[in-house]
Amino acid sequence: MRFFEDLKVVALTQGWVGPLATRILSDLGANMVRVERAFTPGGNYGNRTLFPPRNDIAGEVWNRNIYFTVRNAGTRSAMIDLGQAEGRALVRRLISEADVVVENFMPGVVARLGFDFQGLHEEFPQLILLHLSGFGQTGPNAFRPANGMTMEPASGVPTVTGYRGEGPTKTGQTWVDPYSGLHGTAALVAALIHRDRTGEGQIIDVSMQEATLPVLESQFADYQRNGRHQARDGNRRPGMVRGAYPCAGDDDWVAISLRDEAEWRAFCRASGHEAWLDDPRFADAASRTEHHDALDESIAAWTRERDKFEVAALLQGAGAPAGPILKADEVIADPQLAAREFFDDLAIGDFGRVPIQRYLPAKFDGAAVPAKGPAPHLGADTDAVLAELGLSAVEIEDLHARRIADRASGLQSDPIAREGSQLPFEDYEEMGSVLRIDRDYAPKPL
Amino acid sequence: MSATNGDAAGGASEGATALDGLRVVEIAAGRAVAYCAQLLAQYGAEVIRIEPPGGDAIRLAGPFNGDEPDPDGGGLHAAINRGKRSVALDLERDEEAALAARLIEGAALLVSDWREGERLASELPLGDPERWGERFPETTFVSISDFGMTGPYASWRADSHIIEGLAGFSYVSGDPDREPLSAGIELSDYFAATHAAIAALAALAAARRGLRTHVVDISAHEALSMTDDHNLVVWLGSGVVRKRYYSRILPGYPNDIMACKDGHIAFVPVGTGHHDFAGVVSTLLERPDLKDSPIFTETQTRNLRWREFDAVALPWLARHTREEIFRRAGELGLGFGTVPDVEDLLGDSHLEERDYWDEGPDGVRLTGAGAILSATPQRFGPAPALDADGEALRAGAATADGTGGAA
Repeated sequence: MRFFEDLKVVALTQGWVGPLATRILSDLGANMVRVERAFTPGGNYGNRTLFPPRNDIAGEVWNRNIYFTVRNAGTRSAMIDLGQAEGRALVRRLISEADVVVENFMPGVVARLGFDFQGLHEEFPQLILLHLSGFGQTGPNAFRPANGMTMEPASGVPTVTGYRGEGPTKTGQTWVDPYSGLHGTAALVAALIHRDRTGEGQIIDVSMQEATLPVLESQFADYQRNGRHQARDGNRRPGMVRGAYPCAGDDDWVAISLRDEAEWRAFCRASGHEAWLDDPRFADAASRTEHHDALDESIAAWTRERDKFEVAALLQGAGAPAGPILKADEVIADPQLAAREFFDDLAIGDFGRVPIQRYLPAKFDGAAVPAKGPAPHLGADTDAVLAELGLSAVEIEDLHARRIADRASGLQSDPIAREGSQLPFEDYEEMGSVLRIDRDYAPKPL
Repeated sequence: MSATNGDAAGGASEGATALDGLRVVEIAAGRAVAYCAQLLAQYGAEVIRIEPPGGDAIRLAGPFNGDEPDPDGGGLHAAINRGKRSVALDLERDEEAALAARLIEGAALLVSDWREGERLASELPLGDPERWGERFPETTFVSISDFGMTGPYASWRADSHIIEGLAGFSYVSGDPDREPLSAGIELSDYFAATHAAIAALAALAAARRGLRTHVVDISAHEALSMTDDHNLVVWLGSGVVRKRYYSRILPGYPNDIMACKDGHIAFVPVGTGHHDFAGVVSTLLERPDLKDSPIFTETQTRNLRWREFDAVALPWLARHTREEIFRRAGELGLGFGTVPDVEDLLGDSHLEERDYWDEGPDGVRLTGAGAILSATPQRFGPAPALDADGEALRAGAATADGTGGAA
């Protein structure tokens, strides 16, 4: 479903929110050029060196990264030095021929590099220009530093997430990054529809905070109408039987959510607890909520010796919502995701092939939107991109000689920063943030 | 009720929206479907919401003023059915389904859950993509369901709690010695809705390129599983199975929400001061004597011996207010995260200055645009009363164009 093969996109992106938007456009067919800079000593290595596979920091570690692959699969990499005026002029030429530009630096950064969006809009009115930032391009918080771990709290959601009677907590995934990136992507495609109709480009300003706040719409309403704040209550919801219950196995759990009478009855019958249907403590939603602690103990007594997959299948077969709570290796093995071809097997440099999730897991008339290929090696497309701008081979070599353009050949990264990207997994296992380490794990061979 | 953030990006063409003149029909089927259709309404589509005669679950979800049920007065309905038209139809009756079919024939998109087809009359083959394409060749059906239209879980039932578990999300959320935790909101619905909006918009853009899609199939399970970066990277790269550990990502400490004198802050150092963590944070915590301590100078040491860091940080935080902490940290070039609740957000001066909020019934604030488009700002309108447009739409469905006096 490469709908957008006619589009050229220039990405000045980092982290997650920006690359998410540009990878989706690339998966949908766009010619996506990511402008990359050489590493600065001790500086920002970004996704290319985050968590190197097997903690292996030898050789071209920047071309062997799974994070970078997930976020940039199928895109192109052009290494152009934005610190030099000539490099900036080259990127400006690239932009002049593009349809879309995406950036997610702190407000003002790309303008200081010479890519002020208002100026670009006036000069190239057909361009669609997307800013993604923590708090938007204007307002008193615009320049407040932000990343995924600060933006989840800024969204307000942690104030309703957490165990009963305890403080607010984040989730274990920095989900506001991808969530707000999706809103940026939707805005881009809407702007594209408008441009297809009118020829008119525009500037889009996405604040990660603003894009995320609608998830709290019920909570905003209840506070304003009734003065109530939603209490943190673990996995529970008023009127429902909802929890995570221990199962047989190594820290195995099953999630159960019974939303109405029909699902409650289905659960009781499937689990062999028909007597609960006549128990006055569980007679209706309100009484079940009141006696949820007792109910949890009884449900856990039933699940504790059972396999989480079997419990989920049994309950689902009877019409009671349940699902195993999966660990990373189990997500990869999940039969539903496999049947739906959720993963693409992509090469990770010289490491091997691993399953990489799709960023737009939609089916269009049954056809999926796979990544176009592995992530680009650093600077792999520099020469091709410059040639597409009309530069001759001699001119391109001259740019290389003056380090305005680069192919990352002979790149040496800072050894201290390299070592810093390694993680002491054994220590984490002892501490408890790692459940286990499968030392026999191996990617598929190249 | 109008475009929010209308002038913030500048240069808006008066009245233009991205989806001007496009009709979308929603067959009510839960929050994800409603929010997807609302996003399309925000981008300018005319959205007709087909609801059961008594109103659907969104209308009945509240919150209501004084907890008095009112199918037209619910807070969730007011928020995620904005700018739509409403017609109440009993789709299990052939003649009502035929009316729905007439409305759908004139639409670019239908948004619903394919499983609704199990109870609908034969007029509306939502579960049969081939028949759908034959019956409604000009209308793309965007199906949003828990697990998609195919696969072994296609008939499974779920809410966000179940899906967060399957997506690897809740296993890493919460405390190591307690049960996994799901988010306090219906996260998977919003991920599914937003994915569906992208796919719907892409299908519309593709249609203009001559590439017609009959059925778009969105799975909430996949939409949330897409976020599973951190878990999958360490498993696929190093055979490491991550476990919940106070909802922290593996490397880097502090990155927790911590209590202070008057609430909480997200002690997640960002900004220029972060590059001299030991110097800046030891100064902030008024413990310059610890500047050379490995707890401050070595990232992994601090990560593993975080309780020693907490022993210094938590008492200091308990003595200082949020404002004091942010001011002092800011002077040191350090940024932290705020932890606002809904009350804080409703009074937030930054959001105020950006003209973020939409005005709902009785002066209640509703959230605004998630993206500010300079030429085609998003727009909002009131949520309709049940069957508010029924008469006009029924009359229109009997006419050739089926517009029913579309605004």
